[in-house]
Amino acid sequence: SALEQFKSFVSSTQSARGEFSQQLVKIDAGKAPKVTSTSSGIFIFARPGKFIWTYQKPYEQVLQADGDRLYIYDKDLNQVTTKSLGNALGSSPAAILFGSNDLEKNFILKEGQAKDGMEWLEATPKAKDTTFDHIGIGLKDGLPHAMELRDSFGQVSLLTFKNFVKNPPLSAGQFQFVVPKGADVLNQ
Amino acid sequence: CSTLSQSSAPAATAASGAARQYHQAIDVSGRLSIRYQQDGKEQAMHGSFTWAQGKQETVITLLSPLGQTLATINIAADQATLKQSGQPARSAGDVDALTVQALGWPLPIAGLRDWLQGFGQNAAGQRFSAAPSAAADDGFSVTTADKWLIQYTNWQAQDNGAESYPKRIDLARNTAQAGEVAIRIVIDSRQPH
Repeated sequence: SALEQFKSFVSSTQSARGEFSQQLVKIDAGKAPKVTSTSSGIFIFARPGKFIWTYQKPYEQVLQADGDRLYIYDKDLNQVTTKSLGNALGSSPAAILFGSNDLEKNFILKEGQAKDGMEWLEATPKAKDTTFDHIGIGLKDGLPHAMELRDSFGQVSLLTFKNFVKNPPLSAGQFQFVVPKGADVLNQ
Repeated sequence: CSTLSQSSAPAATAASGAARQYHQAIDVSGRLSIRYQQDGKEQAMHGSFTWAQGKQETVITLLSPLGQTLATINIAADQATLKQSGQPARSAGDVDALTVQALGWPLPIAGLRDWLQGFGQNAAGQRFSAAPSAAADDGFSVTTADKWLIQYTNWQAQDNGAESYPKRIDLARNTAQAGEVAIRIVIDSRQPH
């Protein structure tokens, strides 16, 4: 079942890297779903709370957490916004893959419908003030292959993962953030 | 506060290509970051936006870096409505006042209707049409009628030979509600209709 696959994934995965593609789909009642944006990039993470989520196309943007602080770098804006990680991960989609593995603390987990060749786990955030209502995680052969993030405005973010490598070798400073030359830093 | 000014197409500019037209109806999307102060503390917000401007109605969506909708702002002729997830919708006549009240930082939407396309009114009340200037490296800068300093720092050439449009726009202003505000906008896509 999806829950078994997810639990074994969480317990056996200390870190992972891979590629992602993301589609934002607007779903308005009575209208055909409309893809509003498509992007892709690479990710690497190590539990708990260390990850680098790099958008490569259509623009360059990096979301990085070193376990202590969260950094967002946008090349075109030439800016780094940084704030303490604290419980920023908490019930965000990142928590599912990169957070500490006691997911039941922040989410209600239940078995969803199998579809697209994957078994799906449904996760509903316990906290009400999150920006989204519902997360679906599609699993196959014990690995996440897709995620569906539905926000309270009827927009769905579809993530698909490729070349998912479990427990890859990590360098010492792997998650240490270096401010790109010339970029302005906004501390919060 | 400034009302939604209906602007006429400005005179042709010599800078490059056919004069850039002002489009009453246009869809724009891109990314933005805002730096402002809230009860004495430095605050920063980073995300992306979609801007669907029509003749009767304009709909703006603000999204988190991971693509979750943070807020939507609908502006009709006489009323603006702002919705944030998990909160009741708020409405007001003045969209700029509504935004700063709900989000804590000012997004000069009335002005951006012109500025996003490189037009507007300068402090002396004259219409300006920003254009990439070969001379100054920081491009075109102007102070607007309502005291926003705007810098058009880079431009996006258009393959159909039409004049290039602003790609990055930096806005700065000292505001009562949120202190020194600095907004950076990068436009990713633009579709007049």
